[in-house]
Amino acid sequence: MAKYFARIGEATYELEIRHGKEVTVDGKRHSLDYQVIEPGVFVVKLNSRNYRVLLESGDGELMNVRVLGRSYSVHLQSEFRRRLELASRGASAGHAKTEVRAPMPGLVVGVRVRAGDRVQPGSTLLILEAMKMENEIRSLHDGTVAEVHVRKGSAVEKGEILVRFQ
Amino acid sequence: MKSIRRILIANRGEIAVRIIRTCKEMGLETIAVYSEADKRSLHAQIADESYLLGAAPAAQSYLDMDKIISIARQTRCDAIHPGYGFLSENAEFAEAVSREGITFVGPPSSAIRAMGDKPRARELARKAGVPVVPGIDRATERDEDIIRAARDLGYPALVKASAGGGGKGMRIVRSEADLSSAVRAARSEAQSAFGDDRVYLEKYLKNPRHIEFQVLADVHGNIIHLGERECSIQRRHQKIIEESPSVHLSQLLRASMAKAAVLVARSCGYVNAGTIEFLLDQDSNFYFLEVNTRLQVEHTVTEMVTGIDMVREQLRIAQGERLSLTQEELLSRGHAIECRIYAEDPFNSFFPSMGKITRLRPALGPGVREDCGVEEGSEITVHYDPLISKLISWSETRRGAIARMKRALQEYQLSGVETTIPFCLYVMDHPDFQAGRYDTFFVENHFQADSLKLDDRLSLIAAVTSACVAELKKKMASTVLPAANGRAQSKWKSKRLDMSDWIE
Repeated sequence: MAKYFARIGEATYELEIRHGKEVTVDGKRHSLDYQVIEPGVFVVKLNSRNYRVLLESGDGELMNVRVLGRSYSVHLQSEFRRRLELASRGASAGHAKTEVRAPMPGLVVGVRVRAGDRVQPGSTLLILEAMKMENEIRSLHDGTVAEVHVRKGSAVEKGEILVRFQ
Repeated sequence: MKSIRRILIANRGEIAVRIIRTCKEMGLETIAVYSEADKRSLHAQIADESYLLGAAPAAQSYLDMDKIISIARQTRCDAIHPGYGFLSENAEFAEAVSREGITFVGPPSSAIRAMGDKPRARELARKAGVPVVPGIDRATERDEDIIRAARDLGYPALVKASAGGGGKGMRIVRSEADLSSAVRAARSEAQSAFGDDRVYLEKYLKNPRHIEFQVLADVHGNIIHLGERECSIQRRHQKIIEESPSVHLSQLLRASMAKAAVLVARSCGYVNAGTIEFLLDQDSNFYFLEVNTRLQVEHTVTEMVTGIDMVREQLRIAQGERLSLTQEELLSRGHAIECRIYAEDPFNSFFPSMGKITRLRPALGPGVREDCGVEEGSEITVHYDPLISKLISWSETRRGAIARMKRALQEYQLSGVETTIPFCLYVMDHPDFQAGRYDTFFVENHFQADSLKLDDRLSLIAAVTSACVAELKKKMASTVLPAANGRAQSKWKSKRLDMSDWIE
């Protein structure tokens, strides 16, 4: 018997798998069977229904699985790991998002803000070119720019920090 | 005109593969060209011969006219098919190819030039008696002139690149305050996409439908149309789902739009396959938009309902043959839908999604066609358009075609990059799409990333699967752990149950 906590976006599922034949999700029991068809390909039978699931990556607790073309990022923890994390988090409050990251790889073709600028929701921060399309990267909230990490001509990777707010 | 024996396909991806297929069926020898990034790509593998063009950036490969023509000359090609995009609508290229005594599979350079200059195309259409979208045709250099012109036209307005197409160099302007920055952005995008920063203004029609007519014209003066395609489902002004016929056209309207399409083609001395694009407003008034002087991405839906191989027609026309059928002989049957599968993330504003395709199992079965340009292991890079594949369904009825498309999309397995598959499924399931109540604002009006995200059933499956993976990992570890016992280990080894077997 093994207990897991799977976090997908905002939702957390509490799962318990018994002998590989039954799974309890948030207290509700379902019959379960699963097979590895080939590397990265699972067929999961939940309550006798087949679902083909593609496993794209599985680094430690983070897994990326795809069902019906949709990709889900799952943060999976064993009960032990979850307790550990909850304990260590303690009093440290979650901090608000204070940076803007590149949503895709591309080339910075224009920077519209400087450190110290006040921005509002919708303010254009910079222009990122990808696939010959110029995409305006806008601020989602108001704040003051602390630092601009790129300049015109910078090639950026997906997830790279572009602008940091105070 | 001489007959074609050896043909160079100056393109990549699915369209190069599609063209090579017809060429092979016609017994032609096919020559592919590829960039450094495409060394292992499908089109380069299936052609009879293939030659390296240059580095990955298009400017150093698929846009390098001199290099392409020199390869065609050295390999004794008698024709070049440009596909779509890249050099397909470049009049200079068409001319340079012809100068070498090589047949350019496409319209004469004069027609490309006339239709490529959007204000001039509008002028020709108007003179032929075809209504055009209200707008200011002079491509003005000075922003002050544009501001004054926009006051006469009213807002919202569209700033468009004179040399444009495909939504590039296009900006919607809602008020005068936004005009200058929109013009600047459009100019800069137009300059980088087309090497020409001229822009013009068009009135922004309210909730129009995008309807286009396919025409075929031979050198003997015969022009026919192959009916329409409805291409209103777009994101970023770029098509993503197309169908034929359109549910919005009455027989009468279809006939008058078809007549207008043929008139526009005639107005510029068009030869070969071309597409006349129109906007249809909510009162069923149609306006000429532009001509695409090439094979379209969505030509497949026309092929499915007419049974005509358009690439074959293109090659026949290029050899000086007559059209293989008359307007009266054209028979359309059933309904076809195309879904473009792009490496884009519909959950994140359709941003391109780069990476390696780790699994690809297209869906086929009755009434389904797939035009694909990649295989497992192919890399989607920043250098080119992120179109992976086109899925096309056909059935006797529109409802049947939707059901088939839905089935095929559900069956389609692709991993490694995000794709537009979930979006396409969403559209197939949408009551307004099913009822044919949609226009070019469908995505803005009906689609938020959230409309896809919330699917409790699938997210539950994802959660359960992840727990199954963890169970498997644990089971493996506990069996492999007593490593001193060589037997346990070898048993797993013989089954090749390495962790990497589950995770690519």
